Amino acid sequence: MSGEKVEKKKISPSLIISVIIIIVLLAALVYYATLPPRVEIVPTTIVQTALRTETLPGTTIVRTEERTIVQTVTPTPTPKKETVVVWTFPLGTEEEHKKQLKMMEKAFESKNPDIDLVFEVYPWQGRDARMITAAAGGEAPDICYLNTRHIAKLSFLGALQPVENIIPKYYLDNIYPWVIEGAKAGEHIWAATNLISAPYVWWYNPDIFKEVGITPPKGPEDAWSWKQFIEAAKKLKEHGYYVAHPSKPSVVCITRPLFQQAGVDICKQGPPFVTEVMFNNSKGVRVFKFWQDLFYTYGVMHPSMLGAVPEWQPERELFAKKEVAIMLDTTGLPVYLNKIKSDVKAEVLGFLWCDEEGKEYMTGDVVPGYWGIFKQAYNKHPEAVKRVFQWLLSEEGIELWCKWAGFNSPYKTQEGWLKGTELYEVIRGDELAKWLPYGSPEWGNHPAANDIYNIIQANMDAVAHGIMTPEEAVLDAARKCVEAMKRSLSL
Amino acid sequence: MCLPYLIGFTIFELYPMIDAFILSFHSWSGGIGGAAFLEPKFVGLKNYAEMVTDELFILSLKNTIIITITFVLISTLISLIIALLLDQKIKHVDIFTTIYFIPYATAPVIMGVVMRVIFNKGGVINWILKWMGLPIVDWLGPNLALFTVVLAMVWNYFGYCVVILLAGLQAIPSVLYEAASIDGAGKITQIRRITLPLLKPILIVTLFLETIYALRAYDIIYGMTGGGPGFQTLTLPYYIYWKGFESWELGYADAIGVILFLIALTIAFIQRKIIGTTTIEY
Repeated sequence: MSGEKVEKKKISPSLIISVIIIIVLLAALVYYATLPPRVEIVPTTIVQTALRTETLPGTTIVRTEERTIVQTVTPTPTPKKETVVVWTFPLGTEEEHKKQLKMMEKAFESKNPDIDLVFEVYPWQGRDARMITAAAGGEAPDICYLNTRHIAKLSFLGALQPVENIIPKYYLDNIYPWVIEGAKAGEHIWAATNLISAPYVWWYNPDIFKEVGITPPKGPEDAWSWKQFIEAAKKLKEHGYYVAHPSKPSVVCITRPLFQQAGVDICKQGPPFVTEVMFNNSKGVRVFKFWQDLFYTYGVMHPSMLGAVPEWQPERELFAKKEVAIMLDTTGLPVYLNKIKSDVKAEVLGFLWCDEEGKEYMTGDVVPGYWGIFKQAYNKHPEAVKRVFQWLLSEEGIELWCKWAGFNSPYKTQEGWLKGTELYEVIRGDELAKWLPYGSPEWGNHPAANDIYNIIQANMDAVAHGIMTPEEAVLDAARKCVEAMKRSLSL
Repeated sequence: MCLPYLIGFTIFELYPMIDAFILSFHSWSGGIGGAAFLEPKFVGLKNYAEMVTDELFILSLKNTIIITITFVLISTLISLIIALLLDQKIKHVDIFTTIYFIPYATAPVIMGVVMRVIFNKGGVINWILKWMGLPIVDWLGPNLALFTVVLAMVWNYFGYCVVILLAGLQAIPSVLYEAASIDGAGKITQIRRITLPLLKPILIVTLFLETIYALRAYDIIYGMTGGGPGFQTLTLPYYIYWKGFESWELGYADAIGVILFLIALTIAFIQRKIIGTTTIEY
């Protein structure tokens, strides 16, 4: 047999020429891309012909001389329509939301014909990455729907435009004061909300409770403690029913309230932002212990909740299938059941309190979103952005934005706008209203909020799997969170 | 002829790579801020120095190495066995090849979600075990999560390796086997003395592709475990995404990316050294 050897090839001249051409092309591209735009004003000649006119018979006839006017003018530019891009994420179903946004665009443009309002709807998942890549490419939206954790990070990085001088006076006069607090950092207000959400409360299936013989709490005065909650869950499990909470990323909605119920917070709210956690103590251990009891010790949480991951959020379906009897959710749950399986009911169980701390710290999450303005885009056309922002905060803008989805307006003047509607009955508005005073803003506002929640969630997951003891989880999470906080503040 | 590719390579690969390398020496939030934050801040080797004390980086590095080694070994072995079986002049080999190839055609993130549904405590596998009277297994629990992830990755990728290896096997001249069998060589000897040595170049390619796949495993893990339980399946690409797009520390994420690139380069070099050169003599 003959031998085959791979020979080393010399670099061909065509390759060298190709590389040179690429370099030249790229250099040319860079050169032209960096050239300042050339502005040309070309005088235009307008030829106007005045026609000879006659009045009607019987009146004085005036004959005008037929003449040609030649006028040289500098053209007045046609007023350019400004486009203001608003990024948002679906409330309710994406289809319903898009339909609503179209109505909002029309309503705004009918009053502001010189502005083209464009809503862009993206999935909630990965919205941070979307913001970063858009901004890095110089394509940040003008206005974006943000959570408090975004406000902390973006304002810290200098990405947001302070809005205290843009927010209309009637907004500040008519809004509940605590609503504005969530968007304040230092001397500035960085964003403004346009809804007060129903809180993330625990819901229960009344038929299953009846079957198992559990009496639900009547209201906040009768609220369950952690211990009562676990006892009820154990009883439910004996009958084959489980407890559930939202999958990632919404699982964070349970994290901060648990710490607050235990009498602590995750970290000190800034600014000035500090690098200390507040849960590195016995109160923090209680939270992890409660979690361990739910998952590991008594196994009352549905197995699908273990390490719940994005892209697969089965909890509402599990409730509809009656595998789950108690679940933490927004008004989205009763709305979902009403559409999918109307024979399965969800009623409000409310918030919990920690046995050692008492009801003083009973709290649950509220999920208000905020409109924030990106400085990068705002500087390009401040007036147009300002007008859109102000309209979004108008009563009309707010009503069109969220009334259809069953959310509350932040305006005192629009309080109770859902009362009497069919939707109000579906979301059990009267029951829910009793718990509203116990809501607290979600997330917290440290610039390292994303890291903090990733770390705490991972350690809660570790405790749920029995990988760590609650004490180990607290120490480990505290150390990692402090590192993350330091890093975020050193950016 | 290669000019269009070179243009594409320069714009879409070379430029981002060089840019990422430069950025790895900077602190940068992705230009998300106003004018003051648009420019990355030069920090020298700070990002690299911080990795040494970053527990999560070390953990994700360890997980990535474990996943890569186990995945490459299992995947190569399984795909080689299947490719050898398919090379036995069986009927309708194309149909089998297509069937084996289907998992590769599934998007890894979808594969991850499907695998999660199958492997979770109340999933199909445990349902079968229960039905057979066997104890249920916590496949995604602390002891097995990493292994289950590797299993899912093998399932997702081995079909592609089978196709490559089968092409390599079919390129080996049949006269060599005929001559060996006349000389009295059995099947095992033929595989050892003819198939494997002649398959070496293709094996190198397969190993290299498998290594690359394992090193950049993100989406299947995202869909399957979300990096958990705890941080047990946190890998470097997952950590890069977290640091880059959730913590907005793009300079640090770039530095980890550079390390990942160097690891890939080193592994490829070692593989080539261990398995040998592509020179074939027969």
